[in-house]
Amino acid sequence: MSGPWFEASGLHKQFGSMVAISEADLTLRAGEVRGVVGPNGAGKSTLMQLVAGSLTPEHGEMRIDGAPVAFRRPADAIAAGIALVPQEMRLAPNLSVADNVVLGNEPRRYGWVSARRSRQLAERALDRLGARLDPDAAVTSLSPVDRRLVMVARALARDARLVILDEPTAALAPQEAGAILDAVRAIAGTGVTFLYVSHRFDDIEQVADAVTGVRDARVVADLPKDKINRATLVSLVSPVDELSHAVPPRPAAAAVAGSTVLAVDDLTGGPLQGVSFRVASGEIVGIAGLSGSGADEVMAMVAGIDPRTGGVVSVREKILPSGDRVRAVRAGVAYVPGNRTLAVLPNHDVRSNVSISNLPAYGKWGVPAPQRETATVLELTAAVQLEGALSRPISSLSGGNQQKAVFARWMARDCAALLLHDPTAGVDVRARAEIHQRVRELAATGMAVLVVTTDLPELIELCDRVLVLDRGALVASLPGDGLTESAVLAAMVSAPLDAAPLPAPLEVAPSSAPLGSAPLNDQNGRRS
Amino acid sequence: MTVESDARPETRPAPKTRGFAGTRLSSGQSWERWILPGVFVLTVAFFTIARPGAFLTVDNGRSLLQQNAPLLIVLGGLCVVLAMREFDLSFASIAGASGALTVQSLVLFNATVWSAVFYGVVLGPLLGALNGVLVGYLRVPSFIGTLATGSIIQGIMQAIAYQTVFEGIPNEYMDLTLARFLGVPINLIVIGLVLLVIGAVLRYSVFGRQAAAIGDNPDAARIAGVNVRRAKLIGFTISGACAGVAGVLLTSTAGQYYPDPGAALLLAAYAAAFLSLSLGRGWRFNVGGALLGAVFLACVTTGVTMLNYPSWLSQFLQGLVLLTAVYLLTRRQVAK
Repeated sequence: MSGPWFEASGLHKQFGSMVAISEADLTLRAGEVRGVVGPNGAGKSTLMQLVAGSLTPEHGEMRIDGAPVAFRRPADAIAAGIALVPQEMRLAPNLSVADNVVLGNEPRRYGWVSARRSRQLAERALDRLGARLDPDAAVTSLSPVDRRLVMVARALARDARLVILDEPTAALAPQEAGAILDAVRAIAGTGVTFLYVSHRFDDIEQVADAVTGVRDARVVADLPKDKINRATLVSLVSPVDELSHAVPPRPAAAAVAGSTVLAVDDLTGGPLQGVSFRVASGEIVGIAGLSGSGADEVMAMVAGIDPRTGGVVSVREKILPSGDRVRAVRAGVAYVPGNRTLAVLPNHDVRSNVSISNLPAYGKWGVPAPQRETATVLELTAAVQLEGALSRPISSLSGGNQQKAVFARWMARDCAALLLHDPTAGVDVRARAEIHQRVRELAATGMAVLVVTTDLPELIELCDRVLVLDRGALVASLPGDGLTESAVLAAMVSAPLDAAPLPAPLEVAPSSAPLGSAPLNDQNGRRS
Repeated sequence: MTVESDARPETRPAPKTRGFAGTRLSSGQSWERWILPGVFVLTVAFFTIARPGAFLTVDNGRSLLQQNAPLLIVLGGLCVVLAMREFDLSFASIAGASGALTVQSLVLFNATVWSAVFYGVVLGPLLGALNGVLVGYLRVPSFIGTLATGSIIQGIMQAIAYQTVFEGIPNEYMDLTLARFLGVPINLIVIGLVLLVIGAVLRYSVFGRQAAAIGDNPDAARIAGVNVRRAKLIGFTISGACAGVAGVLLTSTAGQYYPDPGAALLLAAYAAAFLSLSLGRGWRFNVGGALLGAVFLACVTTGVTMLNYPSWLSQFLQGLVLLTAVYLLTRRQVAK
């Protein structure tokens, strides 16, 4: 391995007042595979996007072969030999494999695209990957793993020196992931550098020559090959340090085990392969899982937002039809999405945002009585401690207050089940504690509460029981009492972690994480 | 969002729709909102000075409204559909079909005037409901879907009316739109009723509130438990009903049936609706603003005619006004 050819130092990027990554250094050698790990929202994606030119840093510099470079757009980075392979599928499904490989980089002949040279280019790139694919096949006919390989081939067809892979195996089964890992190792052997972003520690252990740990918007670790082991990796991801996030003691499980309110049997659809569980009255059940595990889909299907392909969802012993949100609401299924763009009516005032789910109840003949509506909304906003005029547009409120308004919306109805999706995403610490308090109060009234969150401390604070999903199957059910983050994490990364001794704190100083940087979930469309 | 129409009643030729006393504040500081009302006032002032004693008169105002009665009525229905951020491109054809059916019933089946009017008016909501099922329940994109149904309806209408000479339309039918009730032309009464009812429904009813929520954020509305599909069915039905009424008015005013009588309505209605949108904040349609927009465009046409300017000028100016409005609207939305 030769000396470093790519160096980044002091990269800093913030969105408004939120610091996404700060003072990040990164050094890469030819042929190196560098794993990048860190919790959701730590700044991994931002760092990768800075390197790939999708974002421009506020300050800091990047050098290639010693010469400073500045990328204004992805095309600049591509020209410099850096290609990003995003987590989402970015292929034109109806074009052929060859056309997808050369997309945006079509070889020309007299100004026209040359089909013959496209094929050659694609074949060469696929060969390097060791992928036996018919260049004329349509992408729709390919398996997920082959599609992923086509995306990597696209990067290779541009003669990239550095390929950034963002969660390349997130949606793949372990045996499928092997094909990707083999390809990465083979190509790295030809001198191409990789940045390999992943939550899957198995992958990292197999493929990485070195690991960069990112947490709380900083690079907190730079591990050489011999330091890469499960224990260090787990401690890198363990989301928040105690300093910024004291976990208040969970109140003793309040007389749980009422009757079953929400029953899910053999739920299938999307990645889900027969998920069954029960939530009793007054119980708070959490679902943990990495992206692609199916936790999001469980929410969407139980709430009646997406149709399921099989299985039964019933609330208070009433079976809910598949994909029928209106009937689900009528049966008492409240849903608070984590992505606030799915929750609020941005051009409406607070009053309308609170009353929207319960309008017919405020009046006769299909006309809500303004006084009754206002009185009820006032009561509800007071209950969630949301102050201020009801006539303010909701978009002028902070994230935490918007979330409170959405909570208030569901308190107007007699709900049986409350589904919470990342309930405190992007919310500051105080609002977070308040929202947790509200959730507990609601559960105490006999609601069944189901929480899906990527924020592990939240699961531990809130839940009486945590279910762990991996690749569409329920792999563990952990009791809430005495639950620790490492136990949940161990179950999430799924490879049997034999009573993992929690590793000693890293030698790397946590670099005094800024206090305000509460856990950020980049799942909610913050990938910009 | 109510247009602050009561802030400048002095220059307007007669429209009676007040801004509904609203609680939603217009805290927007953007002065750009006032460009178009300003242009409107200037336009009216210009024509008034150029044609003193002819332009800004009660008579002219009334005839302006009467001439545009079908437009103002379909505009009401269009506001409902647009409030949900859907498009209805078929209402002009529906109006034509309703007109054709009414005239056919009178001429070929010797129906009484009232039953013929009834058929015509009922056909509208039926065809509108068809659109509603397509868009709401079958999830056909409304823009292209209603373009298609409009074409189908027009085809059928032409088949019905093909080579039929519509002679012998009873005078009573033509008198419908000439009649006065308590001294007010029936046209104006129908306009007033339709627009008032739709305005109130949009602003105060559960349906109207839900329609606005759907227009603001369809996903959030659905998650909040709004029956989006049913709301779309109702919305398109209302739009069709308005088109049905407009079709009857069109043929009654013309005193005859001619092919595709609603053709001129389509563009004018959208122009007026988007003018109103540029007055408010965000995607909030309201009937008062749309009425104002329609009157604005009508003023331009009437004024240009009165001054004996060439007729291309009115087309040109209308397009210019609309383009400016849409551009300002887009700019504000991008700025947000």
